[in-house]
Amino acid sequence: MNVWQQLANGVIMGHAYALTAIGWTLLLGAARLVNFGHGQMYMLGAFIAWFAMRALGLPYYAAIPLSVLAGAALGAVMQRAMLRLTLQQNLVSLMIVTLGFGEIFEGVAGLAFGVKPQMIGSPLNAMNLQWGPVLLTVQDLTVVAATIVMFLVLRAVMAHGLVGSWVRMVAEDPLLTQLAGVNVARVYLGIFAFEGAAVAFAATLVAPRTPIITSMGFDEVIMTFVVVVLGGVGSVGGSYVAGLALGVFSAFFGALVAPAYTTAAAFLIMIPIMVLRPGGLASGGGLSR
Amino acid sequence: MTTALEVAALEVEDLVVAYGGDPAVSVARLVLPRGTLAGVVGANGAGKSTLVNGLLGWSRGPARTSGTVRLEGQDLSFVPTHERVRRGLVLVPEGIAVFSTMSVEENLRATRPHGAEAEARAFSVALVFELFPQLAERRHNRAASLSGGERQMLAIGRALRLGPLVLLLDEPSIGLAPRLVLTLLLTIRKLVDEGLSVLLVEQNVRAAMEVVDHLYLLERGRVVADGPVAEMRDDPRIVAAYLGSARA
Repeated sequence: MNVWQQLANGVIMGHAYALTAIGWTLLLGAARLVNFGHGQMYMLGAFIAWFAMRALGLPYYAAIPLSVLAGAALGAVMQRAMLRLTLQQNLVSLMIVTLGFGEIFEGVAGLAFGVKPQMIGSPLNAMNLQWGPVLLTVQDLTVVAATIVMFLVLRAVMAHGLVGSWVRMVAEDPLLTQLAGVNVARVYLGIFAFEGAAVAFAATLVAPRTPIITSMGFDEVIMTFVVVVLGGVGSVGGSYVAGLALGVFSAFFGALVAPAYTTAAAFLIMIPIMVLRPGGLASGGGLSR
Repeated sequence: MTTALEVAALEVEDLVVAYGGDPAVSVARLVLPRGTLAGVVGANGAGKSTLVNGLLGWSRGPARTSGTVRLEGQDLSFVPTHERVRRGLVLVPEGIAVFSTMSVEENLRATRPHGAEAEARAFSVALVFELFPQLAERRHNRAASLSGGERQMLAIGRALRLGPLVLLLDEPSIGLAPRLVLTLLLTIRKLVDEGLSVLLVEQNVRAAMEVVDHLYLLERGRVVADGPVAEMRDDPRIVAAYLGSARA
């Protein structure tokens, strides 16, 4: 086994997990909402980029903002549809509704884009870099760099920005936030739009590394769920660390045991952690941590 | 209380707040002239908190509110809660009215006036610290670590940051030591003397009568007596309420 290569694979995979989870981290922290349609939103982000390149002839770099805008619009539409449930914090109904949204997204994507695997032809994926025993692509490095930048920006906005403080206020007490003259429904709209945009952005960077298929959403949602729960509800830094740890673990587990059992192994680790530390690895950290 | 030419800071007509079918509050008329401090007193469960929450269409429960609320002549009856706050009707609710995971300074900085007019009236963070020096000393501490009195000061400081035309204070003295109650109420009186209009809900009738100009007595959700504090002092119902709070 090439240990350095596996470590590099794990770091890249971990950043991919963390980038995919960033929107959900904010959503869970601020809106106390578990979005089981998140994986299918990732799938749609990837397929919108693929479609923009294949059918509209756009270059990869133009397909990224298009997919991000579509993701933001999708998140905003979901929020409008679920506004009442969100304001009431009706979690059971929200889980079922988001699961339903995911199924609808998958069905619509199957009809629109077909059920065959496709590849997003990113030029960055063809650029190889060799450092001793480690072989990487520029796409891999872009995933790592974009994740670090996204997390640093989100953390700074949550800790120091006015919008970030509104999100933290909504997370703690949405009713009291109204009494500060803040339009709470609009804050929720922004959070959902951010989640949609962030997961679409993640998809446009991460998905070109492997074939994409319209049924891939469920696998994505499972690993993202592990990351946000392990990281601690809504903890920005916690999600980054959890994503990285899960990526490195998955890479070595896949190389030493079998890639097919990686998800099961991830849950095997998550369950005792959740039993011993119900708030996750960064419990009590909060959105700005 | 107001002349025909003078617009009241706050005017309420036929306000009804109901939980389920039964009205918890039904107030035919309540007027707060500009630059005055009116007290709303009454026993536990009289509907004092429901009344002030209803003025903002705000509730932690499933309340239904109807009636007319005018702020400086502007009808706010169909305006959502956050917009009423933006226009200058600001409430410090009973209980925890600060964000406990944020520091004192974060609480104040995150609460900002909306619009140029509110900006002109609003207290800066420095002014809030000048008004409540204890808060300045604890500016980097989480609000969760503050004492009850400090939390009330922070809650009032947050409200002043919004540039209120009318400030609604719901039981600011609850849980505070008697000496601190008087200090807090005198600070509120000082703000009124500088031009702010305040409606103060207070169970401690004796303390309220030290600072208010006008008193409303609430029983079972209705105003059963009101008038200038000097006239109300000897009203037997106020005396009964006074004795009730004195015993409490």
